[in-house]
Amino acid sequence: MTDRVQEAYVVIMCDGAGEAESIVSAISPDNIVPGDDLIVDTWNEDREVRCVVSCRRGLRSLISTLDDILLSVKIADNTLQSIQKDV
Amino acid sequence: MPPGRDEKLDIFFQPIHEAASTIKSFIKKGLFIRVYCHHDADGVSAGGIIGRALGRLGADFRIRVWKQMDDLLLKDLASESPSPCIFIDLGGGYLDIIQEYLKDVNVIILDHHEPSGDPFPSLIHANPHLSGLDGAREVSGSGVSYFVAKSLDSKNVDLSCVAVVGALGDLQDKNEERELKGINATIVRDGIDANVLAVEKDLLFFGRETRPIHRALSLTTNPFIPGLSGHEDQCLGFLVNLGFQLKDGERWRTLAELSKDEKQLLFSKLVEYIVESGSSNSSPLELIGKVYTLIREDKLTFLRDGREFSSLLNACSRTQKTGLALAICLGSRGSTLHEAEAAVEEYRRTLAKYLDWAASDQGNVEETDFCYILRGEKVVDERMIGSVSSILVASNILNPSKPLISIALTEEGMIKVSARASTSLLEKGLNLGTIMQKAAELVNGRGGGHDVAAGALIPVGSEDPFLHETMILLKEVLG
Repeated sequence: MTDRVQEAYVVIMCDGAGEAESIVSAISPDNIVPGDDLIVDTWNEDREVRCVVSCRRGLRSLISTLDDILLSVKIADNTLQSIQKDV
Repeated sequence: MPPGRDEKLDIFFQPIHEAASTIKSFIKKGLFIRVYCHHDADGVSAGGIIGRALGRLGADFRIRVWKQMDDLLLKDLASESPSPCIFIDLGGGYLDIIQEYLKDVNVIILDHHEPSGDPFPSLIHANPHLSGLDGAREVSGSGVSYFVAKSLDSKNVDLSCVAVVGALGDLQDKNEERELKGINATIVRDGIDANVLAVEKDLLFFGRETRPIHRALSLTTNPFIPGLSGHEDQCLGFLVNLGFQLKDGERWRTLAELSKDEKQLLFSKLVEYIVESGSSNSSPLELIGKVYTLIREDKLTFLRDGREFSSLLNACSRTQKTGLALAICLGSRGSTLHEAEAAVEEYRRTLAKYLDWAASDQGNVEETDFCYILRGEKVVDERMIGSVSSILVASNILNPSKPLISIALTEEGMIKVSARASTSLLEKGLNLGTIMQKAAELVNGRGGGHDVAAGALIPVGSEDPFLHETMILLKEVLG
């Protein structure tokens, strides 16, 4: 563990505001991380999914967390598309 | 006079139609629907079915996957605006606490577990037990959900194959030839009629669509084939000696690709092998049974064979990737499927590690007069303890005349108990579900389940009195 705080800010553009809202809703349970050395905050603004990760666990942990978030966004996006195709 | 079968079915379908019409009224009013499904293969299949049915109707909804009905979930739900809730494959045994937190909320429960507690006015509860039908063999949570989806729109019959996956994941095929029967058979028929499912009698190797044949044979533990189950090298040698063409170019062939003649030869040689091995635990006929194929899924993928599909969902659940499992059941493919396949490999590696530990000669499995005890509190993940126990009992590592009681520590600081036994003990009248229930109640825990597969959740520190009571109850049956 290090005292240095490393932060990443991610912005993902979506096709619509509804899609951005659904993705944030889908991945929001992943925001809950035990301990205060890793904080994840995700929200949507208009057609964008925005995410801030603050990490005191080192760069490797920050990168893994970003990987996990991006993967979750990808799965949520895939699932939304498959549901929309299903209608 | 007790109700006949037709009457039971009428009673079973009544709340299903009521649930469907109520869901339609929610949608018409523009209400936000909160859906919670259980985290196992049956639960996420059921969640996928309801999610797709709601999506097709343009409903505003959210699905969450949950491990068990508890105060945490209900408090969370009660703190939100009181929009309708649908609990799928969970909730039926917790009517009292649901009423306590959500008495003013419209609640729909689609479950197949033993109900407990009193119904309340804002509840619709569809559950085979309420009509005297068997929730362990007749229909699962995904089956109940499928009938609601079908009642919402008859076009949803294409979701029948997902319900079959859920039923197989719930091991509802505990019948001759591993066939789905009862209400499940109606779902299978719907799947065949909707051209989404095919059923045939075939070899029941694990991984028939995705694994090289020798690996599929080595992964087959039901029946356990001494010398072959768990021994990939021996299986390879066995097949090579039979003259099988195991590769197509550089690619390994799978069981699903074998011709009828090749399958017949393989079956007859396996019968010879099992008979010559003199194993009393293995019946060659168990190698044959009903295979459920999802014919609209790509060949040679995990989603083509119903049992492999359910094992993929199970692996996602056990590795805490329930979102992936739900996404698959909602129809997501591509990279979602690749991630889920990676979860299968992770699950398999972890399981192998635990089995190695359990089977090591360091006394990790303690043998007592009437059972084996596996103390995995500090080693085995609570999500895997049931799988580890099932495989140990199916293998020939342990004497089948004694059940296995395994213990793990949960994230919430409780003790999870998994009890498994060979079906041969049914003749003696063994019912592990009753034993787990009685022993758990004695230490202020909760227990229950089926005759040869059951479990309990008990407070930390109560393991010894719990095990002591379990021994007494086992002695009454097996002594």
